[in-house]
Amino acid sequence: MGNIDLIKQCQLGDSGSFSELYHLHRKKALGTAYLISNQKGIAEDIVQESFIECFQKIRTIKNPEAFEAWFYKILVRTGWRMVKKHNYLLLVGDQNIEGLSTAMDFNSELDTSETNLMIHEALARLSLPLKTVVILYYFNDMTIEKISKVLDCFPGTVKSRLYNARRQLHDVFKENELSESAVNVFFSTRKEYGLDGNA
Amino acid sequence: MEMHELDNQIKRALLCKTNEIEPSEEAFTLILAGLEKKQAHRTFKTSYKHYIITLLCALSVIFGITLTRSVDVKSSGMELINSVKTAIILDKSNIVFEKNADEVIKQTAISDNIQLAKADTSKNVGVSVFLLQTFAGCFLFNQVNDLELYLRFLIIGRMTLTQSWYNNKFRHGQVPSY
Repeated sequence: MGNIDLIKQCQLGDSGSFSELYHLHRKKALGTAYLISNQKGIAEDIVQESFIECFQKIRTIKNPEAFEAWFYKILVRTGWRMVKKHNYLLLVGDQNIEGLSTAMDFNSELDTSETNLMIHEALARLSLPLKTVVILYYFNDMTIEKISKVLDCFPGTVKSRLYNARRQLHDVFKENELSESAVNVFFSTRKEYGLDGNA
Repeated sequence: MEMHELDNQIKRALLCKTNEIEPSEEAFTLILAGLEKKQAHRTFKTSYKHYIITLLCALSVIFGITLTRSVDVKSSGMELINSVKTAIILDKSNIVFEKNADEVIKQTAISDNIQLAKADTSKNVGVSVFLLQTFAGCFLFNQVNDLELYLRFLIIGRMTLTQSWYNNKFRHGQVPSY
């Protein structure tokens, strides 16, 4: 059954369609909530609250094609509210580092995992609106227009937020590259002078 | 770093991070339980709204009665009569002349207390009708469950305002003219 048919069935009160709709969107919704909140527990709460609100108000949708934007609007708002409520510090903790190392493919380069950590660190430093735009654009593959509908703002605002977020991420990368090259220079100089510890 | 390269890196990092979590199977059961709980809460909230509206109606009745009791129509009528100093009278031969109001009007008005008593009664009736209409409005709008509470109050408020405006505009006949 297609998404639109499912929504129409849900509007008629079919609980089977509710379940199907939930299973169709749960993974993406949980991912988005997790990226916004950075904590598994809060992410699950956000998804739960969002689906409850979605099922309660699904009858109000006039255009089923706009379901995704409508649902993510609920999800993002619930996410922001919960993150603010828990006064959660969006910093990459030890738990995330462990999680990443287990989730990563061992054959992939170490560099990639470091880059990922760097990105998460940089994302955690972004404000909630900037971070949300990045998540919706890169993770949910939404267009600027769709994001503007989700966030209830002008497409120009989304563009500027995306630009600012990219610039900040780029700056973080640059900083890290510079520090890395400084470390390399330091170690190569130590080697030259025979101070690498093995000598 | 190139921008498109950065885009790819961000995308990869986000996807990688979300691989950490898997939605649990009992989550949907929790959602259904939450839905039921919210619906039960909504029913309670609706009955709570009934209580609030009944309280408001009761308050309006008490306030209305107090207001009616506090307004002394007779004394205000007397004040109005006392403020009239001269009266212009047209006699049978169509001659207009002025006369001292104390002598002409005041005595007639004081002796004729029936008119003042009538005025008091009409005021009471007006207030009762007005309260009844407010009651009816409250209960009617409370039946419409989908309507938000603030919207109901807004409509009731509007109705009340319109009613009082109507009373002021067209029910002058009930107020005695001196």
